[in-house]
Amino acid sequence: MILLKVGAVLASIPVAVGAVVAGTGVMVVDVRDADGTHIVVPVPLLLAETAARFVPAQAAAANVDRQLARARPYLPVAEEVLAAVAESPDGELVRVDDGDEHVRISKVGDVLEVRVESPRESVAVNVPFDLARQALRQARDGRTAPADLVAALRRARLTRLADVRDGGDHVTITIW
Amino acid sequence: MNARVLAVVALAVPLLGGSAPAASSSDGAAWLHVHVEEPKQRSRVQLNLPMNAVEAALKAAPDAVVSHGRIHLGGHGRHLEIDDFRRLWKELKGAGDAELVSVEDGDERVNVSKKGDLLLIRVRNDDKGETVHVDVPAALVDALFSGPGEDLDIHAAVAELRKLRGDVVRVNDRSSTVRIWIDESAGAPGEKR
Repeated sequence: MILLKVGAVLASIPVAVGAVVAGTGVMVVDVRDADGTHIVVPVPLLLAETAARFVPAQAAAANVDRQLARARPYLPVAEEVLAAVAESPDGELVRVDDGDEHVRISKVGDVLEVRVESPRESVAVNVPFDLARQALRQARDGRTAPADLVAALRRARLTRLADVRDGGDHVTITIW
Repeated sequence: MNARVLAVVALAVPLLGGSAPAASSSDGAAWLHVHVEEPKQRSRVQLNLPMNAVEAALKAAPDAVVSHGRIHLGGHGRHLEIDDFRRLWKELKGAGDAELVSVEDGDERVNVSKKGDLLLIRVRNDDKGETVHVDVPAALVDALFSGPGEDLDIHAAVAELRKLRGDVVRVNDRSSTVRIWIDESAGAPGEKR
């Protein structure tokens, strides 16, 4: 009877861990090389967020600060434009066709869809407005908090963040 | 497309705008569309922006376009006082329908006229096969100049733009076309997804 209880407790640990991971989200990075290599890396977002809190962000913040020096005056405006777009009805915002290269940027629900197509490569990026807002706010304040960005990802469940095909290579990043 | 045409368009977008058709009182969300096509280059750029976003973006305009109450028309310290524009506009408004400016310079003709509630700007260059049409509603200019002293009231202008529907700017030349208009459609007509 005791063994049965111990067994039940032991069995419940992976189930509980699985439930927590499933409940808090998983980012799955899937890489397929042209040579047939296939790598799948599932990253529990709770773990990523915890790890991100220990990342030394000072150097990154200084780098971001330097890169954004010229753009900084426009960041508050960019935030307001983003907020206005987020509240607007869905629609295609930008369409650029230049020969065989095509760029589309559309607002679809809570996501900004960016699509770039060319004969050789295809890039599909879905940026949750929440994530973009968080990134802009951090840039405006001159701070870098990777954990907050990961936390924003947790609110973007069931989103394919990126789907990139370049020749025979294929990379996808999905939040489950 | 020559620099003069681009300058007219560049001035028209932030400062003028408006539409030939009558103002609409529709409550639908207004969208500003900017389409640029260069068929020979197989190039096409289409921007469809909700007016809310345009209004937010124009908040940057006072710093970029206007400072200390002056519209900067170029470098080298050249500028015009907003008050001069305001006075000029008052006189033009009171003039009734009339051709205000007519310039013929070689193959190029520039006409600025007032017709009803619209200020019409027309540029035509037969040699280059180029035409520019800009229709500016008087109410929009009134709104711009409704600010105090040396300030342009961008917010009032955008509020006026929200009521307008139809073409704002059309530019055609041999190699490219530019069209700017306002309607309630998120995508271009016939291009909805």
